[in-house]
Amino acid sequence: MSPGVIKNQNIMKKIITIAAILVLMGTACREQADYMPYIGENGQLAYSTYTEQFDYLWKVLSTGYVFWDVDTTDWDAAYNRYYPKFQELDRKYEQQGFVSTSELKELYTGLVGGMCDHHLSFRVRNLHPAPDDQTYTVSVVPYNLEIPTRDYYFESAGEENQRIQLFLQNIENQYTVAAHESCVAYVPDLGMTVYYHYVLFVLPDGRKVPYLWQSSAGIMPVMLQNGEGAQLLDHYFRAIMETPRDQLAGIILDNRCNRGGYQDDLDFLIGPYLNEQTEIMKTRYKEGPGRYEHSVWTPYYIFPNTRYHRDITAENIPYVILCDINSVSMGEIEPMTIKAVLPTAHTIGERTHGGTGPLQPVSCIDLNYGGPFGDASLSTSCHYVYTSTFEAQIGGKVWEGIGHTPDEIVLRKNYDGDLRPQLDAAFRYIQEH
Amino acid sequence: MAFCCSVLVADAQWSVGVKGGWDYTSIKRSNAGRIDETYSPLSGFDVGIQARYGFTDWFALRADFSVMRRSHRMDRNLNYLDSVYTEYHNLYLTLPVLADFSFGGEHFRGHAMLGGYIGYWLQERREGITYWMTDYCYYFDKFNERCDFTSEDARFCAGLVGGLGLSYTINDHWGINLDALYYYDLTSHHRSSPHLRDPRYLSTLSVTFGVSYIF
Repeated sequence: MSPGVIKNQNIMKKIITIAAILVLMGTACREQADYMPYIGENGQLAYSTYTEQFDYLWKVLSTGYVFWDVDTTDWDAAYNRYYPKFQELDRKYEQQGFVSTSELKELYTGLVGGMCDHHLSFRVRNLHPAPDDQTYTVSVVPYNLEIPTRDYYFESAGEENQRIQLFLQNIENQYTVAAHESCVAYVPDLGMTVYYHYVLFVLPDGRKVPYLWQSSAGIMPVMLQNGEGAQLLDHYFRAIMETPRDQLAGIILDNRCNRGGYQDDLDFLIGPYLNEQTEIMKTRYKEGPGRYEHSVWTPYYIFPNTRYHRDITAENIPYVILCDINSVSMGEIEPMTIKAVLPTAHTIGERTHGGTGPLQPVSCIDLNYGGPFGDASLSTSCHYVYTSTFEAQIGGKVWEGIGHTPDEIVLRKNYDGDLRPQLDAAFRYIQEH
Repeated sequence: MAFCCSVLVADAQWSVGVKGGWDYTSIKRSNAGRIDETYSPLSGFDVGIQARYGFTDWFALRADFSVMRRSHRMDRNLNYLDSVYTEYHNLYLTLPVLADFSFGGEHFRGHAMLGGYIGYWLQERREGITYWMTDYCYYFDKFNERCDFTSEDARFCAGLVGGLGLSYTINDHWGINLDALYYYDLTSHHRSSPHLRDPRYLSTLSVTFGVSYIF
C-alpha cells in the first residue's frame, strides 16, 4: 500500500472520528420538549395538588386559548407570580388539612380575571375545601369583572331580558301595529329557551316595518321544529319578502339582550338578502401549541337562502339592527356581520358585550384543540373552562372583549333604562332613508 | 513554520461557482398533546453560490451562500378531518462554512466536508387544506399563502453541516461538483415559553450540483 493511500486513510479516520463527536455533541445540544397535557383529557385527574392543578390549567390555556394575539395578559409573568402562591396553598393544606375556597378563588381571579375572552367561564373544584365552605366550586368569569367598568353600564343591565319582554307585550299601547305575535320555543340541543316577538309596525305615512326580537339565536333549530316559533318566524320573513316596495319602509332586527346561540341563524338573517355566496367573516383555530400558532384565516361564507329572497341592496331597503350591552356572542356577531356585508344595514344602540369567538362543545376538542374543556359538573374532572373555539375576524379585525360599536349610539343609561329611544332611533333612521 | 506557510500559499487555489439542487427536510418536535397530528418531511430546493479556498491538495475551506426551501408537513388523522393538512414552506438564507478534505486523483476527487452554518428565516409560506365549521356542517378550503412571522418564530438558526462530495476538474479553469450535505439545526425555530419548552429542529439533506471557475 502506497504512503499516499495510508495518509488518506488516516485522514479519513480522523474526519470520521471528528464528525461522530460533533454529531453526538449536536444531538446533546438539542433541547427536549416538556410534557404537554392533552387538552381533551377528561376521564382522569391530571393533578393531585393545588400546584399541579394550577400548572395543568396554565399549560392547557397556554396551548389552547385562541386569543393570545389580542389578549394583553402576560401568561409567563402570571406563572412566575402565581406558581409560588399555589405552592404556598399546598403547604397550607399539609399544615391545616384544608384550603378555603375563597382563598383559592382569589388566586384564580388574579390569574384569569383579566383575560379578554368574553365567553370565558373558568371553574375549578377546590380539592380540599374548608369545613365551613359553602361550596367547593371556584368560578371566575372575566367579563363579569370588565363589563361593569364600562361608562355606559347601568345598574339593572343584567335584568333587561324581562324588561324588554314586558315592553314588547304592551307594544300596541305605544305604537301603531298591524300584527303582533309572540311565542316561546325550546331548543333542547343547547337547553335554550328562545322568546320571540314579531311585530308589523305601521309608520305615520302608512308604510310597514317588519320587526323581530329574539332573546337568543335559535332560528335554525326552531325552524326545523316546525312549531309555533317556525310559524312566527315565517310570518316575519314573509312580511319582508312579500310586502311591496312602496309599502315596505324597512326591516328591524332587535338583538337587544340576545344571549347568542346558533351560527346557522346567519343563513336566515343574511342569506335571504344575498344573490351569491358571500364571505361574512374569517375564522381560525389553534394549529399547534404555540400561543400564536393558528390555522390560516379561513373565509366563512353564507349562501343565498333559497326559501326567502329579496335583494334589499338593489331595492335600497334599510335593515336596522338594534343591539346593546347585553347582546352576546351570536347576539352581537349578527349585527357585526350583517353590517359588514349588507350596504343598507345600520346598527343602533350600545357597544355590545364582546364575545365574538364562536364556540363548539367539549366533544369537539379533538377537532380544534381549543374551546371548552373539562367537565361542566366538576365530577369527572376538577376543572371546566368554557372558552372560545375559534378566533373570528369581522371587517378585518378581531373584536374580542370589545364588541360591536353601533353606527348610531343611543345609550339606555341616558334614558333611565327606557327601551323606547333606541327603537325610536330605528324608526327615525328608516323614515329618513 | 515559515516553510509550512510557503507550502500552503504555493498550493493555494481559489474557486468560485454556483450550485443548485434538491433538498429534503424533516422536523423534530413534540406532538404536544395533539393526538391526531403527524409531522413528516418534504422536499425543497437549494440554490446559491459556492467559494472554495484550497490550502493544500487535500484540505480546503469552503463557504456557500444559499437560499434553501426547508419544508415539512403536518397531517390530521381524525376520520372526518383526515383531508386536512398544512405544508410549511420555509425559505432560509444559509451560510455554511466547511472544512473540505479531499482525496483521489488529479481530476476526479472525493470530498468529505464538515463544518457549521448560520441561517436566517426569510419567509414562511403555508399550503394545504383547512376547514371551517358552522353548527351542522364542515367545509374544507384549500389555501396557499405567505404568513407573517410572530414573536414565537426564531428567525436566526445555526447548526452543524457535513457530507460527502465528488468533484471533477474539466480543465485548468473549470470544475464541476456534486455534493450531499446534511444540515443539522442546533437552534429551535420555535421560541417557546420557559415554563413549557417546545423546541422544534429542522434537519435537511441537500444534494446540489455545482459549477466553479478555478482561478
